[in-house]
Amino acid sequence: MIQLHDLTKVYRAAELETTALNKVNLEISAGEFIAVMGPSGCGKSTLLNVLGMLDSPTSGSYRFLDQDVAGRSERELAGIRKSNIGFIFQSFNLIDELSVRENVQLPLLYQKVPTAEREARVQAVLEQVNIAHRADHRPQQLSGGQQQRVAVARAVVTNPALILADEPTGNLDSTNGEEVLSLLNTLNENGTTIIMVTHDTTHADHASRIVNMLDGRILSENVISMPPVSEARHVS
Amino acid sequence: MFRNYVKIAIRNIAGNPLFSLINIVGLAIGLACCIIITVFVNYELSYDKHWKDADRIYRVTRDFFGNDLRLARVAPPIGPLLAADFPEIEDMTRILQAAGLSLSREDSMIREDNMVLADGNVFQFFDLEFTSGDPATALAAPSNIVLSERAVDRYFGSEDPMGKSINVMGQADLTVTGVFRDLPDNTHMAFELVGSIQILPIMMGPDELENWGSNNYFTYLRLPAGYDAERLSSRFDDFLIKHRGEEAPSGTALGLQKLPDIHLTSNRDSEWRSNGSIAVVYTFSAVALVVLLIACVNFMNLTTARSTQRAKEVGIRKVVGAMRSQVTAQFLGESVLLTAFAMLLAVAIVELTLPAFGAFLERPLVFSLADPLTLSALLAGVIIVGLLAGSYPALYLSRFHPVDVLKGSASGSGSGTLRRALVVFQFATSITLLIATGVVMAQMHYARTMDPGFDRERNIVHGLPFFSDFWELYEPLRAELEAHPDIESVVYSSRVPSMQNLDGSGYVPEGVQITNDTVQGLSDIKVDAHWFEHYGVEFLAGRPFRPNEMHIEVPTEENPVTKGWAILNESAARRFGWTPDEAVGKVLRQPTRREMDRFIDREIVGVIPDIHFSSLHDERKATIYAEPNPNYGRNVSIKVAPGDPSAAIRHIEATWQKLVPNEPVDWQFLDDSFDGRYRAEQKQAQMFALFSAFAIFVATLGLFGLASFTTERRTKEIGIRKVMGASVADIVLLLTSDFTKLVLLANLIAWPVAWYFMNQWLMRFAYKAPLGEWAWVFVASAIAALAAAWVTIALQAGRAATSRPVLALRYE
Repeated sequence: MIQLHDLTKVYRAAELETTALNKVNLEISAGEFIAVMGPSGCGKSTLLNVLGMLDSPTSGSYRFLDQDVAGRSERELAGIRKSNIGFIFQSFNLIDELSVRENVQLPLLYQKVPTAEREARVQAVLEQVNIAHRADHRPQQLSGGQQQRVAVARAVVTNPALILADEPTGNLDSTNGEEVLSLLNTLNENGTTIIMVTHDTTHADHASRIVNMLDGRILSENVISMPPVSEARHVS
Repeated sequence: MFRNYVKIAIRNIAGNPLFSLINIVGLAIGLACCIIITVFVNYELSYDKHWKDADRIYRVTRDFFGNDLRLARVAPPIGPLLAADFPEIEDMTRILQAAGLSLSREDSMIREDNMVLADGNVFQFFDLEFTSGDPATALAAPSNIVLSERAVDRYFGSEDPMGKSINVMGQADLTVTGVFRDLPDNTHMAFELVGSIQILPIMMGPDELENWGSNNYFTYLRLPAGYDAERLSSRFDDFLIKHRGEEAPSGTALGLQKLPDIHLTSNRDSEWRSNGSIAVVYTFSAVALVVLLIACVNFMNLTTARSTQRAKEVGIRKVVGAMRSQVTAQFLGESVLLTAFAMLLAVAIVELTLPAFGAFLERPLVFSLADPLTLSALLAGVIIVGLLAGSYPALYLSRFHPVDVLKGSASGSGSGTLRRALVVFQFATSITLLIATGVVMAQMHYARTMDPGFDRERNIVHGLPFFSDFWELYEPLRAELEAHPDIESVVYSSRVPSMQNLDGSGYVPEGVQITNDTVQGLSDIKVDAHWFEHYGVEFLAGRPFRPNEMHIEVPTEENPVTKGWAILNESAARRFGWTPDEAVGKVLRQPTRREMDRFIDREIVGVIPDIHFSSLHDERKATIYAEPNPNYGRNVSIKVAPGDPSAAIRHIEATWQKLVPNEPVDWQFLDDSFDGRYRAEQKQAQMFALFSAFAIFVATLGLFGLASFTTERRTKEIGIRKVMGASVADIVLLLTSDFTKLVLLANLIAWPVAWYFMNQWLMRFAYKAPLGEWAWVFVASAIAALAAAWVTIALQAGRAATSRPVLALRYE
């Protein structure tokens, strides 16, 4: 699904050059659950942003679903992103002015899904993450765990092949954290590829493979378990 | 998706009441100004377009080079001769204003200011709708008269006027033969009663309509469709040569004015009434747009200032798949929606205030939402203004990169410079408007209070009727009035100050050959011997008239040269190259006939300064004062004693009724009629002041929003500074110093701009207020703008500075 070859990302400030990713080589197959670990500033988030096409690499190649990502316009990237990738953030990043239901249906709106189907899918995914009873509340009215479940719902409502989760449990207590992780596990068992950045080794245990990073490089890859068997998924 | 945008927009508007209110109120004021001005401008542009064939109708004008007269009217023979000489002229009609006639009907007598005499075809030429009578034949007989519905109401009430009569000056009975619907207000003409021009030869002598010197007749021509008026007017000089001789074009010229252009572009001597001005239309339009622009800038500033609040939303939308164009569209939609709210408020403001504006501008301004054109214009306005105001914020906000904003590192720092520039722009335009208002006011004050060179206090002026022997009426009237203890003196003059003087004739110094080139045109004012004393005019040289110099012999064939006297003003003396002292004793020869074969030799007995006879717009006119001549005009000036004038006024009215029973009394204080000369400017000044106030208000509103935002953003900094020991004053100073610099910069820009425009404006006055009278306006405007900014910011800063630092720090 994902092939990275010598992927490098350099940030340039006025007189300072920071190499966030240094010749990263990584291959991820469909259906894997990857946990990316490492100390602050090692490049975890940058890796996730590049994988999510929110940021472009300085050099190296990135192939996603057998397509070269480099050199594509922002418009094309947005197109690939909205049909294949779901995002979950540490700080939830819900729109405060919209209700839970409206937040979750936002990606479907940008995909121009017809109203009836949209409502059905939103309802289904809200029930799946067990937040349907708060569908008409605003994000601020919910607890952190509830907000993150909404964020998960928003990430999966488009049925993405890949979910990128940036410390999804970082702002949650352990009970809520576990709940979110088991949601991710369920999704993974159903065939969704998941890449999760985390600090917490116990949370990393949910993954099938752990990628350890330091100073912009990948140190080691610990295979925890074989990826579950799944049907190959293609760009829809 | 659209619903989602609308929802977000409405929640954003409702969720930030302060910002929304500032934006909506500001935009509403700007839009309301624009709507009101558009209604006014549309009305000004509609003048005389409603007549059938309006674009083929032209008015004939006449210029005199000698005394610099530019008349809107011409002599009565010109129209018929043009029609006879130029077969392409399809039709011609003449209208003579006969204002001030007294008309009576049974017991009631009215001094009628709205009567005209016209050619019989006038109602076919100007297609007025008749409710009774036949437009083609209504003026067939010299004794016919046609009334507007308003005039019918005045003279006949609910009676049927057809066939009934109205008496003119106690001399002739006119029969009503038609009634027409009132003239619309949007025409340069104004009349309510129309008599036949053919009555003039009967009442005033057979030559009246042949008189080339009586330039009192509005004359209109209709030309064929597609005909270039230039082709006709280029042959007018030949026409003058043919009828008035080889030399005629060196002294006078004829011209044409297109009917619909007259109201806004013609400002000739002797117009029907004071016309509109294209300059005023442009100025008001520009000012209304400036107010709207300032409001749009508010929107841009406040929206980009709040961008960090919206940045997260933009980031999320982009992460879940929004294209930049979609985000742009969303923000544009939001500003259009906000503008729509503002438009609703603006329409309410217009509905409430338009009647007052209409009354103030003396125009029947109408704004109807039922008109589909109005509705579509408003809709277009919402979209255009919405896109204009939203364009920059939309492009700015949609540019945010999701990684940056979600990391929290996106900032509005880049737009800080632009935001400052926009604040400077707002204040610079507001200050310019303030200065303009101040200078206009200063000039008005100067005009009203400057020494005009004569004493205009305590003077009551009154016209005497034309259709009577002047001296038989004037001498008893004067004797009777002067007998009253509260009346100091009574004098005659052809014109009284504040009146426009169009009388003029040619003069040549004694010993100089008389030709068209050597004749100097001077303005004529006829006065009696006491006039200079009555008006307190000082003499630069010589003396006032003596009583024996008030009667002269008229030159005849047997006695072609007679002796006369004259007093010049300084400009007139200079025309001949004389100082005041040199002028006294010199003789000016005045030809009395066009053939230049009979003369009055006038000895100059005195020279007076240039007194400001009509208004400060007029140049100093070279003027010659000479013995009374009632044919030039019949006015009396009555000087009342200091103190309560009511006894004197009662005596004036009683005397008038006794001596002139068939004329209504119609006196006026000279001061009032002088103020009337500046009415138009006064109104412009007041409108200007109002718009400037709006501009400042909207700009201050924006500054208030910006200041509250800045303060909010710096809450933590303020808290830390206070913990470190900063006083409230330190904090307020910290927050105000930034904006103070901007307002000072705005002054630097505004001053030269205002200086340039106001110098242009002052050019229109022959007598300008000296710099010292209005330099303070610049300083005052600067102080006013600074004060407005300080108060606004200090209110915000003060609140932040006095709050407990703990609260501020907990803000995190």
